[in-house]
Amino acid sequence: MSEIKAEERRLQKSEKKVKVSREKLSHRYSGYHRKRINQQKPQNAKGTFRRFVGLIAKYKWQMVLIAIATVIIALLNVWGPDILGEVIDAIKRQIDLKLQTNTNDFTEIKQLIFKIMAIYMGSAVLTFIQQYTLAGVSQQLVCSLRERINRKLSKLPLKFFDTNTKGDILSRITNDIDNVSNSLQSNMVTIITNVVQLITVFAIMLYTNWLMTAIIVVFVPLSTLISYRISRISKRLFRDLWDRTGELNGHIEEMYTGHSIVKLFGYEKQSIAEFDQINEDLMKTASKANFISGTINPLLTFVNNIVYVLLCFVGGYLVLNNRITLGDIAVFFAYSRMFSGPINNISQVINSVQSALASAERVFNVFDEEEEPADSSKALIKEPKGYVEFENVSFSYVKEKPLIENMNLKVNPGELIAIVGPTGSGKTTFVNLLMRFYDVDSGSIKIDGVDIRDIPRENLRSIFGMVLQDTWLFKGTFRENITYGKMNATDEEVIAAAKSARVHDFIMSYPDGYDTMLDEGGANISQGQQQLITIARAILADPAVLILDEATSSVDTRTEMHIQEAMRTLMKGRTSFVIAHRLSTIRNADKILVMRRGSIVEQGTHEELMAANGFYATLYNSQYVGGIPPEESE
Amino acid sequence: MRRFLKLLRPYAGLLALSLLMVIVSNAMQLVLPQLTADLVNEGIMKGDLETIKYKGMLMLAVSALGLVISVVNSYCSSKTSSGYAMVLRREVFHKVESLSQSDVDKIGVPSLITRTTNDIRGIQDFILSGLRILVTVPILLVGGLVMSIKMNPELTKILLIIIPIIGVIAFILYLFLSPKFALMQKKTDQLNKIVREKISGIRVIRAFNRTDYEDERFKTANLELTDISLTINRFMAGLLPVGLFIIYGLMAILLWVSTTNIAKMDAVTQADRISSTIGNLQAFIVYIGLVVFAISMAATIFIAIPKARISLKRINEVLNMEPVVVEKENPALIAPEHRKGVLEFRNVSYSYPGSDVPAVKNVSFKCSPGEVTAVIGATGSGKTTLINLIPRLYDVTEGQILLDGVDIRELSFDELHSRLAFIPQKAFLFSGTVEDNLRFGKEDATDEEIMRALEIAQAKTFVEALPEKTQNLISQSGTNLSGGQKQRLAIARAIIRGADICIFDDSFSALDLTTDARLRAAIKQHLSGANIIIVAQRVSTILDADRIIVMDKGEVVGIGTHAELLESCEIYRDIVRSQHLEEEVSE
Repeated sequence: MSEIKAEERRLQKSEKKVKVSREKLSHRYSGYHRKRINQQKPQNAKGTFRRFVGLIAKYKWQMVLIAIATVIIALLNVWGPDILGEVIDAIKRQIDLKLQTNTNDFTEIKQLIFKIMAIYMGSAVLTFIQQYTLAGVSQQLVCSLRERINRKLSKLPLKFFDTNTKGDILSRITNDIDNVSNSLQSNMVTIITNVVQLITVFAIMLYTNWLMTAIIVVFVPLSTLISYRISRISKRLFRDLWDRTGELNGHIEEMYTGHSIVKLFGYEKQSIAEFDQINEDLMKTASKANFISGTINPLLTFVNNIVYVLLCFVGGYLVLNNRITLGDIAVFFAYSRMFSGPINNISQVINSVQSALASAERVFNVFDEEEEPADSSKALIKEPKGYVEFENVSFSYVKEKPLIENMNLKVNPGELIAIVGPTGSGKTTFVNLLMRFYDVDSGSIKIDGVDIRDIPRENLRSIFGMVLQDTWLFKGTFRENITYGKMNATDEEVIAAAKSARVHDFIMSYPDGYDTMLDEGGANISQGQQQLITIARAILADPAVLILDEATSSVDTRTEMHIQEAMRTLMKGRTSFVIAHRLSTIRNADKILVMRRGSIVEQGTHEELMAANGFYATLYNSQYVGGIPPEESE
Repeated sequence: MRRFLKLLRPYAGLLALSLLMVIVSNAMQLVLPQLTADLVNEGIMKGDLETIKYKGMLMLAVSALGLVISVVNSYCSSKTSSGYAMVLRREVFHKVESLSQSDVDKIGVPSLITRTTNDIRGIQDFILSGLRILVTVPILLVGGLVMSIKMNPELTKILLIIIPIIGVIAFILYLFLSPKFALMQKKTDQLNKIVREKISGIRVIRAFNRTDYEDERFKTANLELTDISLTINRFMAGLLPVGLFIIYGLMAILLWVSTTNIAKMDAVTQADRISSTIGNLQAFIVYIGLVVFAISMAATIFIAIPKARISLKRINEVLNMEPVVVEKENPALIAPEHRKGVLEFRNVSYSYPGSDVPAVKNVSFKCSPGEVTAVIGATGSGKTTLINLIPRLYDVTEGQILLDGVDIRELSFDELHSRLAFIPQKAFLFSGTVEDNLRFGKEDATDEEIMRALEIAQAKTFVEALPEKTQNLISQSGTNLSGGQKQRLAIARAIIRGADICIFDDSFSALDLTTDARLRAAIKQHLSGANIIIVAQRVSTILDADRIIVMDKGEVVGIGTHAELLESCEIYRDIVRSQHLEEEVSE
């Protein structure tokens, strides 16, 4: 009881004292809604459709089979009621016969029933064939599309991943491809069936009785108008609904993610008031949209009933005048329903086809992305020594903003090169170029005297061992994560690597030791530990050149010192590049490169650079002596 | 369950009305075929135009009523479902806002988000369509049977045999398909996981030459998923034809049975019954349609019910949570003249729920305004946990923390939080303009205050370089800003509060050295009157702190100034040595 009271009090307390403006909320969360609108329509519907047809051309025999089956099914479905009408006529004749002579002759009826059964069974069998084949085609299509997009991703340059969000790429592989296949699986059949049905039904009706046909046809524009008008209103409402839903999801996501901030800043009341506002708006829009779209069917049913009664009148009159038979009326009743159905169905399918085309287009856009230049195999480095040379290297991510210009550098095997500089000065770019994640715009980078563009990427990358600022661990055991760099490593090697990285004891503190499962992204261990695992991974890979990009930034300095010891042994005999924030960690480097705005402004040993009293000295002093360095532009 | 019914109460009237409408409209659906049959039997067959007119008008009237009822129903049900969804969402959201951080951690943010959005949407859909179906199915089923028995008891026997058969088939299907669906979901998740890992780890994958391996992994998962969905889809492909087979078979039997019935009847005495055969037959076919329709609707609800139940369970779990950190009912007030900003830890210990090892063990210290207190120690030594106890993100398990002599658990949240400016390790910004984010710290801040906070946080230059300056939109969690820029805005957001106590949890990690140094200088200059607590990694940045607290495995192993600790604390000396600072220090 007291719980409820407390809850009530809490609710009362959060009563809207705080004013929230709708416009402001819309503006603030605009990032969460605009996207959806763009996604509903394809940019180039024709071209996309043509490509899509090209894609399913591979399954053309299946598609032909499906199409033929669909047409036959539609025809059979149209024929069925006709036979049903004949049966009823036959029964009527038997009734008259019975009433007049008290005798029966069922042979005709028997035959007709067999006929109708044959038609419907045929339709059922064909439906099975159609659905079964279609399921196969669409699943295979999905499978091959996914495989193709995945292989494409493997060939795309890093640039693609750096410029597209993770969620966007992911949604193309999952949602968009699913959307395409669902559409293929249901819409194609719907369209064929309904078009065939519409035409044949119309022809038969016209043939049976033109007057009654005219009645039905007269009402078609009315039904179309009703559903068009209403769906236009509801479309607008549903768009609003998407926007409100986006806002609500955005608000929930941010408030939950920033929960501690909300608490710390006493923002709960405001957050709740905003939530209540969006929530209420969402409710209003949702109930309106659902209501409006919910009226379409009753209205159409009503129109159909009017048609039905009118048909009864006219039909009754015609029967009385012996102009048509009772069976014809039965046929007409069945057909009047078969006629209005397809029109509604086709108009509904058009929306879904449009969204499927938009999805297909997004998938095709990935296929069209430019791939990394093909591997060259002019040279192979079997036993790398570790000479690294930059010759007049220039590079920029965006053409208008040159980043690295005319960079020259020569590194001998076994040297330790440190790269320092403010954020945005091009340190990470350095790694991107060295590993050929990006290609230089001009000049060349050489390893052991060979231009890296002449070496197969796989060969090049096997020369390097890399530990990045962003740790990357996957869902799997400690062992699997460490052996990622060398799959065939023995247990002893793994343990030795883990020991060098000072992470063995930590791993052994788990009951399952090296077989302990890590969550996706290693979320169940601390950032520092994650970093140690990736260091162990690099140690195990035993490369000729090491790259450490802020590798120890999330490890505390004491742990770092221990790792440094291991690192020093590891670096012995290897060329190493170390990128660091903390200048203290790189004082014993053979060469320090000081980068600023994309170019190397100073290079030399720590002592030389301090003596020169340039940019490095300023940086160093600011870090250790408390001086204020010059401001760096963003 | 009771809780959910109670929440439905405001909508009980609408819901009842809606269900009533469903019942009426179903009843009418049952009456209409009868009317049609009469129209044919008594009108057309007998050539009675008056009857056709009369019955026809009646039919129109009934269907007009049907229209009104359907529209009213659409109104009631959409209002009920979206209203109920709103109430549920409000309950869940308000609940989550009342929870403490450790409660949120327990379920996890992504799961909480799904519970508040997708799960509730599922329930909304269920109410919108599910309830209607739940009411419709029995009515159509029973009504259809009753009407057809009334019309022709012999024919109905056929239905009575068929229905259980269909029911059994549906149940077997359900048993067979639901584990398959679960498996497909699992395979889908697995595939998505591989893609996610591939996208986020693209550099590592390429660096270690594991593209082929990852491609292979993807291929296997893709094939497995295709396999299972192919099985399901092919199976479903069989469903429709089987259903059609049953319906059509039924119809053929009906036609035959009713025809042979004619033979059994006497032409003179049963003339009426004979001549009504056709009208009956037509109505009967409609009733069969209704019954079959009811059964297939029941099948969809079979799939929907377990899903809705799981959603309800997940929501209930959230609603059942009790915040671990609770505000005192009659909080103590610190008189304005006593608000100094003195913070004291007295024998404080904290263990995370479910852990035997305390993350913070028996910590005591006191710090005052105008002082800088630094906390330093190894990764995982409990620094962050220690300072998270101050704003009561977690409550101490032993000992107490005092603010101006009052236990912080005695204070209201408002009072406690208004005294603190807290900058967490990971900068988190909200959607909105730069100004919105700063006002998050102080709602009624003046423009001058905003500019000043930006200036101290070294954010003024880059904010002014933005196209719309302080009115520039920060997109979803600040993706359009660099890590360092986000951190600086987070700092500005905290500074603007003008609080007595400023807590920085290693908040400079994403800043480059230049900005870092300038920021520290600005803080020293502008926040000289505040009680500053800094969690730090680099000794160089805390050399002149009034008090350095050295932590190791949750315990305080040394407190003092830099010079004192160099003398007395072995671990501190280790840290200093690890940062190669000895010479500088001794200079």
